[in-house]
Amino acid sequence: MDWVALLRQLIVGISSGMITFLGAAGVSLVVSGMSLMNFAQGAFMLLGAYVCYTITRVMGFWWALLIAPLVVAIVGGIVELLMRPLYKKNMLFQLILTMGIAFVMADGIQLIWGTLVKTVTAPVFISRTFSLLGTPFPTYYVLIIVIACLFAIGMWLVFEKTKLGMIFRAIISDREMVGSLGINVNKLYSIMFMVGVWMSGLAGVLIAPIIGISSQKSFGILFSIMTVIVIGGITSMRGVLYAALIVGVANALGSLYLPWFYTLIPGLLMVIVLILRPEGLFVRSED
Amino acid sequence: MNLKVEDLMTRIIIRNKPIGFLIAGVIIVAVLPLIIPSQWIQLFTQVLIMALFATGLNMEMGYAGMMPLGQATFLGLGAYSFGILIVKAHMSLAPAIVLALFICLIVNAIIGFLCLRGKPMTFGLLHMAFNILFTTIVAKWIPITGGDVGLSGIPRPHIFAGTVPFYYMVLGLVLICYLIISTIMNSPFGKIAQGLRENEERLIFLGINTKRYQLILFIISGFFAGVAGILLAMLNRGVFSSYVQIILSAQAMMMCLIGGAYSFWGPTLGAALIVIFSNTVSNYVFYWQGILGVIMIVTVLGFRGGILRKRSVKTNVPDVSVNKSPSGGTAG
Amino acid sequence: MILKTVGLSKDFGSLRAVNDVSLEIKEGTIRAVIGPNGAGKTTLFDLITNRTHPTSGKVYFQGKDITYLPPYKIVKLGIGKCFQISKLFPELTVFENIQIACISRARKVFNMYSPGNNAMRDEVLQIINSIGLTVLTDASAGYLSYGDQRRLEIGITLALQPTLLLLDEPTAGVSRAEGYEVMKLIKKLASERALTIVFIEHDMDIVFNYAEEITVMHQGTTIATGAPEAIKSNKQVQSCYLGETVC
Repeated sequence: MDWVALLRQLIVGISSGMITFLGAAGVSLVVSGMSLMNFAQGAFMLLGAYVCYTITRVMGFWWALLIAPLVVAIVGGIVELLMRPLYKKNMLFQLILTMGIAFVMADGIQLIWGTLVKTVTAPVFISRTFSLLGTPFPTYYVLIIVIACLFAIGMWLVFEKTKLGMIFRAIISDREMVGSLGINVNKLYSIMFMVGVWMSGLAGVLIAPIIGISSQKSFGILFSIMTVIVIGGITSMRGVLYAALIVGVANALGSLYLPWFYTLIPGLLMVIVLILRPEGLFVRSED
Repeated sequence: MNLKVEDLMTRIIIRNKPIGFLIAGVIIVAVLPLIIPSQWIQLFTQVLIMALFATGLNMEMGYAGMMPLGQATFLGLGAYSFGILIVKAHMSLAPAIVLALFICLIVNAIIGFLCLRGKPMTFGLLHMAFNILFTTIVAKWIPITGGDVGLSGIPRPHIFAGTVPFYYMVLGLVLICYLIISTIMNSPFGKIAQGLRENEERLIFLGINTKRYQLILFIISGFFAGVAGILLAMLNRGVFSSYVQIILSAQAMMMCLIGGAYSFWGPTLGAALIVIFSNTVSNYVFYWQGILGVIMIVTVLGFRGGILRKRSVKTNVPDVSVNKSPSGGTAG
Repeated sequence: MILKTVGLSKDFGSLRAVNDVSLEIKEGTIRAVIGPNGAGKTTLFDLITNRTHPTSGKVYFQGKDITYLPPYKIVKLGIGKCFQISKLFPELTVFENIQIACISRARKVFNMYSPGNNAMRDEVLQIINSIGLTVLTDASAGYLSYGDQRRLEIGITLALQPTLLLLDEPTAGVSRAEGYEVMKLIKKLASERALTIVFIEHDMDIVFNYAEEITVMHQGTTIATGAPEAIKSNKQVQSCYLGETVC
């Protein structure tokens, strides 16, 4: 067995898992806080990648890493305004609305950036490889892992230590109560949605240099986000993280050993989890 | 103004003379091929098939309030299993149809079981996930499904091979399916569906196994999607990857919503509008998907009841009780 | 004993909402469960119908262990439950609300061929009549007044022809006069149908007027069970509960 290839795929798998985690964490946050399933998350992630493409050409990748997620968050803020009339209505309408937004965004992206596949070049020194055990490893994948971990720790700190995080946690555990505390729930929803979308924007930027960006990818991305959410348990952020890593690694190893089969691995994992633990793999089974 | 027109349509179509309207409608669609140019007949056949698809979908969506976001899976399932049996397994027409429908039922049941495993919130999510998964399988499993190119060479039944006879065949089948659907939805079974839409927990505490109920409804609804898929494969003499794409699922939901998901004929009206519109518009505009998205957003935000809305007319309730507090309640 | 719970407990995290509750309810009696807010009364009902799973303990109905049965099966065995906040089908009419319950009771849920609009019409109308909502037969449930919604809730549950009826605050949110009306109705129906009733109630007047036996809960445990008179004179009960509201 080729241990070096295995190790390399492991790094690739973990990094792509981390990217999916960023996108899925945004969905999970919005679902637990607002009971809103955002089917446009894939499109937002793609938007992040495209904005990253443009900003990278003008200002460079590092600026893109900073700015593109914010741009996506602002678009998300505008989209959230559309959803407001539907918060207390039938959930079906919310789902259809986010689906419609996903369609509009996919075609809107095509309108702006065209149908050609775009590629983003990461700064030279990270697009190089570093050598370990005498074989080259792609630096960028390691960078993704580092950034995503930093981000995850940052999110955790925000959640546990700041006032906003406290309000977020409160609204997740008891929505009625937060409303009765006199906090402006509408504003809070806006912020929450924008944070969720911002995460997907970040994921989009990180994924931009390693894939060919194409406007048709949004539902594929959405699928990887959804499988991870189902496997991890919809509202469990930690479960989503583990699930993303599992799916990412399984995918990367699968592409190495089962090249004809690996596209089905996430779906298969999802089905198995549904049969064995329908609440999600990492949700402690409480009532 | 707007409301008045809607009211009028509602009254004509739902309240007063459903039978008269029905007969008139059937006569119109029956003589249609005799008056319109033949290139339109193909389009109208497609309208009929999509109307069946949407009406089947509406059993879950409008009546029972479930969230079947990926119904194209089942249309594609019917079309592809039928097409593969014909093209790859070289079966003849009749056994292929029967076997394809059988496959539909089995796979429906499996997917339905899986979709209903999680919490109610996950149902729509999984429904859509299976749709995307199925799209991936179709795209990647090229030796069997033909990938993006699809499968061509699907025959029609011999005596119905021409455009006009095929139209009549589809019309007849669709009407039979409508009869079955309306019988089901007007039965005690159908009554329960409305209860499910309103309050699932109450149904559980009325002693009803709602999971089993939803699964059966799911299978029936998916079955009609499968029938529509087979008809569509015959109509276009081929099976293409567009049959399973998520945009088709979205279109079907839009048919229900635009036409009116709370009425039996709403999805049919919606199907006619969407199919004709998409066929005329997509010839000129490249961005049909985006336009559909806009339609979805506008419909959901704008008029949530659809055109054939069953209005809640029962607001004038005589006052018999002392207390008139709103339904919210203040129990602590 | 129609209903028996043995050592029923429920933890929510570190909070013990129901603690080692053992009840025995005789057939044909009317039992009230009282106690201050947060005493675990509603949770107890949820445990009996397995709306939430107990942490430990058992529930027996007519001698049969029903602790882990899914709620719909428990209902089918003959336990009807009215919720604290009316759970109706708000957009359906009063008729349809009752009809759905009747369809379920008659095991016609999966009947897909017979006409459904007037299914079981006579039975439905009779129930509507018995809860006094005949005038409102075709009104949407969501537009009813709160008291009428309570009646409808009771009617739906009665349509199941239960042998044991669990009522969670049947008079909550209703004026006192109407509360008495609702209770009178319940009592009348109970005697007509030989029902066993367990109800949660805050209004002490209603409790002492209608209950034949009373169980007092406090902080998740039962502190006393007995006839109304005995409960009234029970020192412990007075100190922790009645003292605050009555007298």
